[in-house]
Amino acid sequence: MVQNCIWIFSLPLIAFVLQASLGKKLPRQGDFISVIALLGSFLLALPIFLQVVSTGNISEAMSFTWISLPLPIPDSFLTSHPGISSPTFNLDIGILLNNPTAIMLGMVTFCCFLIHLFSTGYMKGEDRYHMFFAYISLFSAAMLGLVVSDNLFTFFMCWEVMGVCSYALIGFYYKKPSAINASIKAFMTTRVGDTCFFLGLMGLYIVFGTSNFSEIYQGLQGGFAEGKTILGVSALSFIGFMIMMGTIGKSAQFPLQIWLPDAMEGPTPVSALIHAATMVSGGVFLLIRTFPILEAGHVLPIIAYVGAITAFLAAMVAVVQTDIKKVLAYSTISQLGYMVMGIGVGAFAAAFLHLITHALFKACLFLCSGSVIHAVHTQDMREMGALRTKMPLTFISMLIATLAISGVPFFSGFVSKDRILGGALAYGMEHQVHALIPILGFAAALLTAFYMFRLIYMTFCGPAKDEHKHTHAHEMPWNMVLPTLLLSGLSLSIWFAGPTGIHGLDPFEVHWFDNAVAAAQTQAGIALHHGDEHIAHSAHGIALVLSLILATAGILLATFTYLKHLISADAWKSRLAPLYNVLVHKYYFDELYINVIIQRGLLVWNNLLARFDDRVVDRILVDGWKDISMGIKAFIGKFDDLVVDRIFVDGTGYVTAAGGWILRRFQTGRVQQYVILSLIGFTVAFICLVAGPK
Amino acid sequence: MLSWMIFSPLIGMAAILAMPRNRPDIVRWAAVITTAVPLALGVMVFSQFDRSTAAMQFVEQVSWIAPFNIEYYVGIDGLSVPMVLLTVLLSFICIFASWNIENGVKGYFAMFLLLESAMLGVFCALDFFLFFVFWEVMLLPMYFLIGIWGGANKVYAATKFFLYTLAGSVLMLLVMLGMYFTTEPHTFSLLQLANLHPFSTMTMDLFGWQLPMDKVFFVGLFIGFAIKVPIWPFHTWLPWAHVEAPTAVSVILAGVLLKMGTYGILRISYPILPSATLWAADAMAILGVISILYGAFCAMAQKDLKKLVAYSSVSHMGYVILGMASLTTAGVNGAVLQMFNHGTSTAMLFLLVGVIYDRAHHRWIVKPDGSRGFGGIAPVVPVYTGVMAIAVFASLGLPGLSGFISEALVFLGAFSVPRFQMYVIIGSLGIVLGAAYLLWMFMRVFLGPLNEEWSGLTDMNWRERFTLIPLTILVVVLGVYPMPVLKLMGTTVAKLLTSLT
Repeated sequence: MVQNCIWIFSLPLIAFVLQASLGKKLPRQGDFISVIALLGSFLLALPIFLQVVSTGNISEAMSFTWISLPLPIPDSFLTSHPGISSPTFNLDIGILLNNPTAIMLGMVTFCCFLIHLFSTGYMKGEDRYHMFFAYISLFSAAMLGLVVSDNLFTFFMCWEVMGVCSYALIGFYYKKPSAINASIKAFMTTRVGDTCFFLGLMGLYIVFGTSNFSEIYQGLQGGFAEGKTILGVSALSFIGFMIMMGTIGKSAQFPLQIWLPDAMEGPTPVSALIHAATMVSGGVFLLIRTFPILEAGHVLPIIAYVGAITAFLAAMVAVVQTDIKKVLAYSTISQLGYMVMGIGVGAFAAAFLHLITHALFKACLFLCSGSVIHAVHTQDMREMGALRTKMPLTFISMLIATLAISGVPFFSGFVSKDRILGGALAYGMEHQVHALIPILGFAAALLTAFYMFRLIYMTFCGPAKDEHKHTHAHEMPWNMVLPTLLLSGLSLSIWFAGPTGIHGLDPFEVHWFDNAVAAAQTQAGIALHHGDEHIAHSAHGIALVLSLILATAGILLATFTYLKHLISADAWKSRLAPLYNVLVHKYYFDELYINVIIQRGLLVWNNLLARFDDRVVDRILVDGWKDISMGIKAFIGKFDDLVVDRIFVDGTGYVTAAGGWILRRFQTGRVQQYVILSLIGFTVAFICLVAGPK
Repeated sequence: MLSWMIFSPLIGMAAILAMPRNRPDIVRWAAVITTAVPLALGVMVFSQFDRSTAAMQFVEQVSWIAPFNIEYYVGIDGLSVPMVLLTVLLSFICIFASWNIENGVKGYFAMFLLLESAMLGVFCALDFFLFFVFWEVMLLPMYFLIGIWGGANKVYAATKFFLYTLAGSVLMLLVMLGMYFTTEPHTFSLLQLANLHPFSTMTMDLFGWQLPMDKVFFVGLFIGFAIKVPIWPFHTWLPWAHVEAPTAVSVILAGVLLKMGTYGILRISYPILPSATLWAADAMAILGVISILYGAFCAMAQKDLKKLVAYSSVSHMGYVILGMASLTTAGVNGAVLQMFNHGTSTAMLFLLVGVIYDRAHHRWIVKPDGSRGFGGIAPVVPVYTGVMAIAVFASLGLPGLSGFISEALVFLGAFSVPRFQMYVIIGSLGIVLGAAYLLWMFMRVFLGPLNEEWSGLTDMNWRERFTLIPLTILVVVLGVYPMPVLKLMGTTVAKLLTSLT
């Protein structure tokens, strides 16, 4: 099985190399290579995934030494201990195939394959078609490499490669200034988080001497990190905080969330890839892999707040967006906030489940929105409407995914979101100072149902707003419809919990996920402290009722506003104008970061420093020596003129003139003479060497 | 074998000088052949070099100036081999990059070969006097290559380079003589000095102060070498020299010459002055971090492509200093690897800047009048853009390309020294800034709407591709698997560190 893992990420990598080098010359620009490679990965991942589903446990690993550097050991030590080979500093890399790996592999290969298939339709006829497939294949390869990594070092490497792929893909339409700005913004924002992550990684090496997950888990259980500090704080807190920063960058959490909405500049399949299956999920997967560190480092409460704030703030902005992809972008940020919050409150399994369910329904939503955009050639929902009849299959897929994200029973999102909210509520009830966390979480649940149904109504229902666009709209070909249907089929709760998804009401229940994650927790040594069982139980009951009420309320509110028009959205807009403005400007984060910190801060500082370098360091401190020596020369010249010249009038003059004549012979400025002179010098040296005394 | 390697370019130079003036092609091909010989010998060294020992290999030792105990003493160990390989490879490539030099072809290639000879000499010399001779000989061709075949301000830049380096050399000379006269028996042999290293117990009288001799020597040597690296604040000659130098000379300057400074510190200062090294490590780390940030900030403000790359070199050499200062296995190995990797990736960047300069006759990212220098040329020159993207990403430390692993090792080494942790955190800002200025440059030159002025640019020709292919391969291969280079140096670095602790 573990050998298959190598192929799982190598196949897309090979596809990338082939596509980038030969793609243009192949028939269909070689898109079949990428699609087949991803299909191959999926077929290889499927047995691994099914083994976890059926047996609930998989645990294999392999590793080898990648870098090995001899450590400094005195020779005397080695000679006195003849049996010992000299010790080395090693960076070992390898593959860890355990339950989380297997679950992720199943999800990622499945989504990536469908996104590849969808792209063959969506990107048809685009410029640089082959490069598009090269990039998304590399993207998939990096994500799969990240999933199977047994250590944080290669995890980080794949993480960075994903960052570059996102840069290339978001800026795929590189003639559009908005696209390249978005791509650079995405790369730089995540790079800030990545750098912190990297420092956390360095910290891990100091504390544990390794970044291998299994060894770290063992080290933590062995109390290996106790008493160690970095910069005066507990080493684990430092590492945990830095790793959290990595997630904040990559998963677009507050306050580094600004890049993700702009990332919608990329082609829509890219949005599906980045925001569902791969990059942003990578950030949450990092938290899942490093959960024991985060727990031991006591950073979980911070993570919970980050997640809750993100979930709420992003959901608020999503309400006022009119671009269909922007709504989905903010909903992604918000849902990622849920996952991060889930990790923070210790609802490890729930967060992981939400990662999987969200990936499936969000990929579906993005691909459906891609179909819609492809059909009507606009992203503005105000120009859509009444597409229900024109694109029935897309409508059904999107509706199912919307029900899932809104948290309606029978659909997958309900199961995972309800558990996260239950966990958050239990956390809030137990630690009442943190009551804000569940409050924000529930508020976001209401908003989610509202803005998602707003999207559905504006896009598919009501009268057509633009007749021309409406008449030309049509259903998509099979290679675009099939992926959306498959993904929506997997957005049903039956695959994860039971037909209704409500615990206790289901005629039969599905336990594979819970079993697998429970086993994974044991492997990682996570002994989740459940607090008061009684509180937890009642919290889950309350959360169930509350989330049902809130989802219903959100859907009804959207129905009254955008379908029945009983409530006027415009009236509320003007009534809440200040809030509306703040939301439309995304809380002015972009203005703060770009206008203030970068334009007014960094660039001004750069220019000042460059000028300082030029004018002060170079002109004064360096060239100043010339002026000083010129001054001395002038002084001596005067001295020479007034004193020396008057005294030793003639003789000196002749001598100087003669000397100058001789020197001028050498300073002809002709290269050949210099060359010959130096050559003579060299030759003399060489002769001395060869013929000289031995 | 080493002597053949060092002096074969010189033979070629003599041959070129004897050639007729009106046949530039013969001169060029002679230069190709001449640089191919050291390259072939370099490959042999790579295959025959024994990685398991830290002892000097391929040693040649003969008395040269016997009364002063000066020897012609050459040999290579794990520190020198990567540098030697870099030198022979880049020199060979640079001959092709100089193909379009039209004026004074003979003189140019003769100078170039002399330069290669001297560079190889510096990396192979084991006698301080010999080292110094090669070091000084190197200045001469460099001065003329910039001063004659350079750009508009060539004389100013060449003079600045010359005087600056000379100032450093004077300090080096004084330290060298000081070492010679204070050891008993008087010797210039670097290995012997390293075995004796008697200076930590001595003091010297300087302007009436009693100063510990090893620290004075260390500071003197360090300034001499720091000018070459260049470490802030001794860096201001570099942007000038780079901007004015012809492409191939920039490549050699950034690819090889800068490494001589750090090589010198590792070869001479570290083993001979171990206690002073420990004493100076903190200061070196701080200077390294300042260089990283200062270079990056200045690079961000540059409007000239070449100046941007030049300042990025200041920044990237800062990593080398930081890694060296850490005195850890990962840090020092990372530093030497970074020397090599910076050599390949910066060489790529300079070659690429040269490619566009040959066509456009300017290198402005933003012209002085504020208009776009280029912009949106990616679809016009796709191959060029692709190679540039690889060079940019290698330079900004993308995992999978060579720059990442050396920077990671440097940070890993430095971070494991508790008192350097703050420096590392500050220095890590350089990772963010590095990405910023490079990607910003890439965006402004290659992406966006096409600047119609350059819609007629031609893509790289086969000669230009030929110069970049080997470097691209190295950058990718060493990014995925850096052990071929790390294995060369590992044992030597371990021994060096053993001697320091």
